[in-house]
Amino acid sequence: MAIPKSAVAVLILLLFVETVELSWCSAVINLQCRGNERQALLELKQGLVDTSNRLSSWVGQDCCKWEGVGCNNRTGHIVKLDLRNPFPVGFQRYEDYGNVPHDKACLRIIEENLTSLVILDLSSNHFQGTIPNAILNMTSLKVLNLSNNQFTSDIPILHELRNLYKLQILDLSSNQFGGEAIKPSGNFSSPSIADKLETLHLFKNQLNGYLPGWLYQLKNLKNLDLSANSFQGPIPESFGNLSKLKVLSLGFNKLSGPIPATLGRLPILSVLDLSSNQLTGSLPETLGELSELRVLDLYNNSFSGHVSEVHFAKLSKLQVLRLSRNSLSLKTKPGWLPPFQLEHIGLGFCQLGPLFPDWLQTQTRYTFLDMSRAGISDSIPFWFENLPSQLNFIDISNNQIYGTMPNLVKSRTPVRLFFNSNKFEGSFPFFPSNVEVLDICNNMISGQIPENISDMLPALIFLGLSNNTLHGSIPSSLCKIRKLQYLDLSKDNLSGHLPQCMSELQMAEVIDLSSNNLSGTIPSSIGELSILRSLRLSNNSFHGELPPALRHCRSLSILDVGENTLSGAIPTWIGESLSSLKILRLRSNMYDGSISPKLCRLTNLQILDVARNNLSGTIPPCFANFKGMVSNQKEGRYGFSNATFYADKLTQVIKGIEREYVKILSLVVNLDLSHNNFVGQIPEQLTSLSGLIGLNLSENHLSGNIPKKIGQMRSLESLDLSINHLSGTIPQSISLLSSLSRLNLSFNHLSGPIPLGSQLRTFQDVTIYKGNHELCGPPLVQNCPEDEPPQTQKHADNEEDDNFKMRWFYIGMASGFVVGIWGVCSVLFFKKSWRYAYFRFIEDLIAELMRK
Amino acid sequence: MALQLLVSSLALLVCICPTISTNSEGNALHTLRTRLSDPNNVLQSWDPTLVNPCTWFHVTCDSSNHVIRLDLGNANISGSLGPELGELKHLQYLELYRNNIKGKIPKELGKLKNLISMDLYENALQGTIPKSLAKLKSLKFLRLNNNKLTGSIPRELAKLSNLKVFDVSNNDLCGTIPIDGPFGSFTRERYSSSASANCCLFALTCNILVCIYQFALLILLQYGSQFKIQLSNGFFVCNSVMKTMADSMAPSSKDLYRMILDVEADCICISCRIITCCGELHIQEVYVRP
Repeated sequence: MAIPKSAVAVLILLLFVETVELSWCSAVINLQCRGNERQALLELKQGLVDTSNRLSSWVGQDCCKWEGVGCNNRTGHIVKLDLRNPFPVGFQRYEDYGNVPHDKACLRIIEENLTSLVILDLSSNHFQGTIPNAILNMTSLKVLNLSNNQFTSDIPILHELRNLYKLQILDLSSNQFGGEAIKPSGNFSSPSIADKLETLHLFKNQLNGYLPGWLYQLKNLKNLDLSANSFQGPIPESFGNLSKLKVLSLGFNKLSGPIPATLGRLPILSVLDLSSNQLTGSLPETLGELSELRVLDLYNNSFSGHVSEVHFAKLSKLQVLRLSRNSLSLKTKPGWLPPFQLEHIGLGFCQLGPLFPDWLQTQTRYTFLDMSRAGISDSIPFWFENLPSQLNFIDISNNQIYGTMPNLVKSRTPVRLFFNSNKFEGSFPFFPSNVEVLDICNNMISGQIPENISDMLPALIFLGLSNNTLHGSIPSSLCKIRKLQYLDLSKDNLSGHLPQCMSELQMAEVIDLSSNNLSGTIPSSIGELSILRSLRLSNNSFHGELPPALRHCRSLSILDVGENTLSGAIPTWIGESLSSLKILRLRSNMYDGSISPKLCRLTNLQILDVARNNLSGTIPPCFANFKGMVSNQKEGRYGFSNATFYADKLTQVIKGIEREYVKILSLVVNLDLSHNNFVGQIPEQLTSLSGLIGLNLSENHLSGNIPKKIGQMRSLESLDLSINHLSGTIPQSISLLSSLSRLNLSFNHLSGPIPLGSQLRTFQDVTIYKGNHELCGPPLVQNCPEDEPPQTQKHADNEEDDNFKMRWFYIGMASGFVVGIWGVCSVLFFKKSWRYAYFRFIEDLIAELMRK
Repeated sequence: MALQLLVSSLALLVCICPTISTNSEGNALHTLRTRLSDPNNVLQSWDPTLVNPCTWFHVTCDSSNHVIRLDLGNANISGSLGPELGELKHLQYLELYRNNIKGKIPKELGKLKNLISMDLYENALQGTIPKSLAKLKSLKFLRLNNNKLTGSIPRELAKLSNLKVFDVSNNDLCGTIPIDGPFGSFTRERYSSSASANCCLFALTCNILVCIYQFALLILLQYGSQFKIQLSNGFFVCNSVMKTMADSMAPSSKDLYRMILDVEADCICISCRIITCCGELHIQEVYVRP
């Protein structure tokens, strides 16, 4: 999705440049700069950190010729000061002008001496703290660019700059301004910053609050970019009054409500970017009035309803149309001739079908086409094969498109094709040779992979043929596609041995051959793929052992060889060498022996699935070393793959059903040791793996108690300990597991009451406790004996319960005290002989004490 | 011939259209997500581009990939619920307890024909209990306690023949309580586990003030509608004894006293808050002592 953004950026840039009316000239011939101003600049230079010596030209008399300095050619006054960092962030020579201490003498000198400064540009440096007061008082400024620094502000930022009433261009983007942009009720009393302002860029800050209604007072505003902040609430209708507005960018905020129809009144609006908000409602038909509109970006909102010809009535200049990720439906009459020629067509998630939209035939210039999930149930029309020559991206995935794949004409640029998840059939289709990404997964393509595939598709980076009905062997010419990084041939009917030449795929990051009929041993040559990150060979008929050469694949983070007939002990080199491993799946093989503690060296491991083998011995307590299982909060680790076109996948049985985890795989944390011959106790240490979503130890020979601290595993959604020899009571702490949605404790020797708890009481199915004859309490019919009342939900539930009990305790204590005292006194009162005996005893006691 | 073709193509369209809208349950949950604020990131796995929501955390599907459980109790989420929840036609367990969910209970929840348990307790839900919940024929557990619900308990809920647990304590509800259907058969034991943990439910309509503790609830379910007594002051309900609180006892409140005494009220509530919906009642606290 980088393409549309850059397109928008370029357009914005063009418009931005267009509006700057520069009234200075840097080529001054016969004028010397003024001494006091030169002195001020030298003072400034002293105050700046300039490690890369960018101000080296600031020597000599004529400061008008210094780099970044511009003078008025009539008066000789300095009117421009440009300290913009010419090197982009991350560039080797990106060095900063450091922090300017506020109100430092040098800045005051600037303020006093550079009174005619019109342009000040400090962008892309490392300036921190609040904006120096000196700048706030430079009332002659017309252009102020402080973007891409770390400036902050204690008060609403526009309020702070209120004195700069000649300002035309204000760029404060990419800083750390927070709070509101200005006081909500702020009205500008003339003269104010509102008078001349044409460009206001506040994007990429931390501004919040409602979009200020006062913005309409900026009568001369042409460019407004407030994107990537945290603004919320509706888009004010008053925006419709900004009649000079060309660019309106409000993307990546939290705006809600509909698009006000008044926006259609903006006569020269060229860019409307409302992407990635929470906007709702249908699109106003007045949008069709925006005859100057070039970019319409509504991507990723919650818009709904129909979009028709009316919405595009006058949009003859539209180039970028981005409606993806909404619930919109684009219905046009057959034969509609759109007024526009689009370059970017983003209609993913829009209902376009069931017919293939015929108006697309009129578009001859587009480079990007996204019609995924568009409800199209049609075959591809023949005219579609004549693609525009600049095309580089087509996504028509997740429709119901049938028939054969189009025989596409070769375009001039490398192409990415996403035809996946449709109903295409026929044999392996022809594609232009410049295709670099080809995803035709989840279709009904049959036949064999062509023997000469490297000649047909020499430029491939990604080849996705998964889930078709391809058969035959993997052609060795595949190894000759030298740029291939991602190879997904899973879920086909491929057979035969793996080609020995696979070691030639030196760029390979992902190889997924799972769920085929491949056989033989796993070739050692795979060990030569030094950057391999994911290797999936599961659900085939591979036998023998994992080749020890695999230990050289140091980058491997996913190793899935489950569902084969591999045998022997689990290799110890896995733990010794594959330290990046996050997922190890050896499920359903013939592994035996015990698990070596060396496996515990895999601290990044987050999925360990060795279920359905013949493993024996105890569960190593050092499993607690799996730090990857401690938390399932994987910040910034959404998906393992860096590519936008490929997501790692893996099947896991977590809630009793086998499911394929795609895209969210990096969040899945699971430990499955079921169906082996493990003995001994469940190590208490296991409960420190608090990120586990699933824990399955069923069908082993485990004995002892369920660990008391099981309630620590707060993320647990599925817990299966069934068919073991566990005894004792079910720990009370289990009621703390508020995400638990599947529990199975059946067929053990557990006894005592089933704990109560908010979540536990939602398990009404008694079979999960079956085969434990001494369990009692709800939901079982068997009541607990009187001396063993069902445990209360003390931990999980509120303290009111305890409070209540305490009150009753005190009431009981008080009444007990009264009854006790009264019991003794009443006896003394009513029974004469006891009374005598008692008082005699007291008297004797006193006498005895006196005598001493 | 042309007509035939048209008809057949129309028939084709009709056949195809339902297959297009798959993943409606995933869409519904995704819409729900947009309403919720989720500081602990528990909904991070809710990726709307997946084929179905069955691999999402806190969501459980059956083997036909229909959502049967939504487990978000104690998840520190806030926000509101919406009509889209009604799309989860196969849902059996709706567990959203102990969060900070505001807004109304959507009436569309009445579409969840397979729902067994609705646990919305300990949130900040407002508005009334929707009548539509009476359509939840399979419902066994309905816990709406500790919210800010107002209005009365809909009479229609008496139709919930499978209801085993009904808890609406600690809300701001008014009115009388249904006496027929499952409400008539609630016994003391049904409440025994929750009785000690909760405080009073007050059913309060104009001119009727009744303290319903869950033990007392039993009584009022059976006799509630008979209480037509003007009351202008507070009262105690004690172990089999009820006393008027103030000296200035309203003349007709004696009737109430006698009636409750007759049925062995066992109210053990310690301290209760009263929210009046009648202008003339100004009772802030009612104490009940043994």
